[in-house]
Amino acid sequence: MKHRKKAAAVMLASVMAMSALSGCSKAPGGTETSATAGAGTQSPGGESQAVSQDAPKEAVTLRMWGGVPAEAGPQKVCDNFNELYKDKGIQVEYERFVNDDTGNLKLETNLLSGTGVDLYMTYTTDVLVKRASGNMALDLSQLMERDGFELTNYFGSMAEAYYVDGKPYSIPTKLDKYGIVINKDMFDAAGIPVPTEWTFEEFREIAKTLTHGEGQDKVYGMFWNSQQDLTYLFQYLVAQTNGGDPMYLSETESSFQDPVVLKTVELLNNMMNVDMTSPTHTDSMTQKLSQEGMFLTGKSAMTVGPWIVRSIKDTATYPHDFTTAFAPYPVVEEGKRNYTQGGYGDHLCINPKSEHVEEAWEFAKWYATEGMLPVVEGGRVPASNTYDAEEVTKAFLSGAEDHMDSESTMAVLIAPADNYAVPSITNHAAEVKKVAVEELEKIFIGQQTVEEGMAAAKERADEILKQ
Amino acid sequence: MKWKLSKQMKTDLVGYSFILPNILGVLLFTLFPMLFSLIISFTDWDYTQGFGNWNVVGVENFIRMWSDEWFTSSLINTLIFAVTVVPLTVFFALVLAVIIDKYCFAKLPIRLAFFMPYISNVVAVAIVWVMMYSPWGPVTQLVQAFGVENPPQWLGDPKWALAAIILMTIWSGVGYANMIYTSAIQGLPRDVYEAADIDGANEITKFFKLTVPFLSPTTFFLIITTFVTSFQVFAPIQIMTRGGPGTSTNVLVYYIYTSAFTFYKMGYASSMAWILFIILFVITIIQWRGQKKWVSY
Amino acid sequence: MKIMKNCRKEVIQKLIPRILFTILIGAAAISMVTPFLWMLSASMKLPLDVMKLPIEWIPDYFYPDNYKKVWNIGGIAARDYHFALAYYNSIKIAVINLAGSVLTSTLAGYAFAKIKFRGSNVLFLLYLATMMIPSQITLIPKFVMFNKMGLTGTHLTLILPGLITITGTFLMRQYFMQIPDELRESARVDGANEYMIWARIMVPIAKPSMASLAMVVFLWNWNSYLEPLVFLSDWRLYTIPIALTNFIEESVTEYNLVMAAAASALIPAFLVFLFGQKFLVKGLVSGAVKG
Repeated sequence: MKHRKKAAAVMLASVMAMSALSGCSKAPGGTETSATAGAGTQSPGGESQAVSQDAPKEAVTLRMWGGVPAEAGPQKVCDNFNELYKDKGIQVEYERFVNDDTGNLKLETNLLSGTGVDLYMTYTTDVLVKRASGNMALDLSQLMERDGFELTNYFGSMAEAYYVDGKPYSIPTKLDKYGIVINKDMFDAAGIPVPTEWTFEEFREIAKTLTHGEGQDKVYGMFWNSQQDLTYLFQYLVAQTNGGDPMYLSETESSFQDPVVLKTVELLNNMMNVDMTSPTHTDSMTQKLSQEGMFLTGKSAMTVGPWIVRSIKDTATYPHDFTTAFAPYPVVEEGKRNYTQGGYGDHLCINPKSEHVEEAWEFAKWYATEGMLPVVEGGRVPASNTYDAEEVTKAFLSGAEDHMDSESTMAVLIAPADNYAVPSITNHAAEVKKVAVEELEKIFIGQQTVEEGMAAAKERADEILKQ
Repeated sequence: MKWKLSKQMKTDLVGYSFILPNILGVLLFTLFPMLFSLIISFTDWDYTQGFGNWNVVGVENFIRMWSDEWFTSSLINTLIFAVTVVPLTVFFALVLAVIIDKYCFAKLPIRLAFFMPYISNVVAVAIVWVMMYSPWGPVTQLVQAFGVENPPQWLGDPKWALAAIILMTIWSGVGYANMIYTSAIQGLPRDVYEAADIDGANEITKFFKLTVPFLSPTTFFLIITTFVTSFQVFAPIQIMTRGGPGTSTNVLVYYIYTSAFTFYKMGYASSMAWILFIILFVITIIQWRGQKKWVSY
Repeated sequence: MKIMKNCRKEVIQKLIPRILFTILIGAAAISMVTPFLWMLSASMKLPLDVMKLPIEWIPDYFYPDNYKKVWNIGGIAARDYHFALAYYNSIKIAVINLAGSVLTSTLAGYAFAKIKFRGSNVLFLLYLATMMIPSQITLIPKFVMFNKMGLTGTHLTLILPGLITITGTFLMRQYFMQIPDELRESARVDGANEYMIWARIMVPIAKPSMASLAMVVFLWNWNSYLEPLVFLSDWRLYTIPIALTNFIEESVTEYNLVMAAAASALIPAFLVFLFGQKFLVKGLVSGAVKG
């Protein structure tokens, strides 16, 4: 017995030594992250130390995470802020995460462990709810009350639709509308005016008219960009008729047997597999087709958008000389446009574990109400009423004045509406979405019919929702 | 008596001090996490709800998973994957090892060529194969050159996607098995072969009557290890298909990963991880048992 | 030598199958490296030439700019992918874990093989049994644990568990088992204690085995994917495989760049392999034969 005790003591001592060791080595890890915060890019090693000494004493460097590449606006936003606030002791550094499962996992790991993120963007409502209820986003009500920063003053009463459990966990910074991106030159050549209202049927016919050629030279009427996301069809097409929760009928029932949903799936299926007016889903996947590679090279006359705006402006990388115009998404039937597709996006959240909540809040206010113009150039319309509409339009078109049709840009993407489709149901959103994607994939590949696939999707999703 | 005891004690202490880092490591990073995982596998823990904020649901997770299509399909896909990869890899490796050893010039460069994929970074390899399988990639071109007019869309076709990943896995694993066989072959008893030569046995007979039985312990080892690694396949799936198209390449570990880190259902994911462990355990036991019957040396 | 003594006919009879098989297996070997050749070729092409048919195995025009872009040399890249930093991280982690696990394995392997402490057999068996536990089962708890300990966002999440390897301990134990006890006994007579024996006698003779183990551990770490994917969430900490997947996500359509990045990721492993293939193969093989 005696020697066991001793062994146990040795063990204990070494556990302590070990934890002390890990405690020590944690410090360098910690400094590494805070020290590098001073500059955008640098090599590892000693340099970082020097950088943090150069910055004014006690300057707080915020870390902001967003899904937009830095060069598409956020870097300039940060530069502007840093210039403006350099004497006030707040600096901000932008970090890009890819807005997919893996990217969001990385962001959330950081949020949950409380390191490395002060502010971040959330892009969809279901994720916002998850983060708000999972203590990954700060409840902003106190800060707002203290500073008299009434969300509704800046963003209208719709801002309340994005509260979680009645509390604001984010500032909605972007208000945008989406639409079909159109190669105006091709429309002109075919004698088709840029549509301001159209049904699925009309849209399908136009796509047929615009499709021509064979093999390598084929020009498609439409490119659905399905490899990137298959749920576009819900978010953009179905939502216009059915409202903000296109995948749900209720908290416990999915919409996958809804007539509008079925018609929408049929539309895509027909265009890809019957009319051949859009590259098939298989082609999109196996050839990794991109909107830049299809639309900007003139291989398709239309595509979904408008997030391609930043590439349209980048004529160095994607040289093209046609004019791009925009049209609202087509609706299932005449008179069924009940909602405007779009709404608040870029929900700016603060990490509740941040050590610089005050500074982060300062930045958030500045960003939402005055700092966003550089990202407008990248195709994002600010939500706050503090921006001048003309200035926004100018920034939106800047650099592409010759490449973008200002009238339809204004009407389709920028001019605010009063009947947005606002989401409210987020029950098992990730799972329901996965079910939809899997079944849609099988439909578009030709493994099952629309009826079979959507029936299966309904059954599977409802099963999950009932849990 | 006292003196003797303390000598043994001294030895004990010295011994423990040597193995201390390892034991600590295993305790901290394997046994403790395993216990923890067992506990949460009986809860409905959602990670976003915070640590400790869970309900104990008993064996509900373990029951529910069998009616979860994602789980069952992932299990079936994993089985198909393992059952194809294991025998093919081991068989090719054995045949190659024997032929290279007996008949080939330039043995070393050939072996190294086969071995290269094994040491390669799986991410890089998976990306290269995505391109290889694309319509303008060499695999598709090769199939077309053989006169197939409409070659399969490989990763884009639910019927072919898993097969495509299986082919890649065999490609990357055969070199390792081959190396192991090669070194086992060096230890084969020459005299037995010479005796067989005198009896006039031909090469085929010798292969089946002598080589295969002699190498059976190695084969056994390879089957177990390849099986275990096949059952844990993750990176190629995550990089090449993300489980699609549909659910055609959804495998067990990929689904565990999705449940845990996309859906944040930590409890449920842990239950599935335990099922994985139990399957691997049972299979290893069966193979140990079976080994006694067919491992002949 | 034997062949030379035999008559011509027999020589030819033996030679023909050899040549045939060499050609056959050689062709198979070439097809094994085809993906690498294709990768190298694509990494030197202009973006659109990657998709050109028929495939040009040797590009018309070698375009080294792809590599410059990946490595952000000369400022021609649209953005910095921080590949050099990922390289540094990968090497750092691999080297630390290599040193750590060679040390711990050599220590424990020696003890399990030679020191007759009580419970050594039981401990060893238990220890071996943990080899069967799939790492996926411990992944979630480790993720939670590291978050609780505040280690997320540091390399310690990969280094701490990486300092020991069960396989390595097993390998070293097997090696020390075959070293005759006399060596140890004579040193004891000279008054050396176990630590001195380990350091002055055992480690020097075990160097080849340690080198083998070192290479295997380096490769494991260099290629490890799932754990860094889950534990590392900051590009400053990315290892090569994670930097590579991130790279792909950010530049899906630039296949030539992706191939250049993939090629860059493979090089260190190939170097280790080329210079140390004997040790490496030994490390992978030992413990397997007669397993």
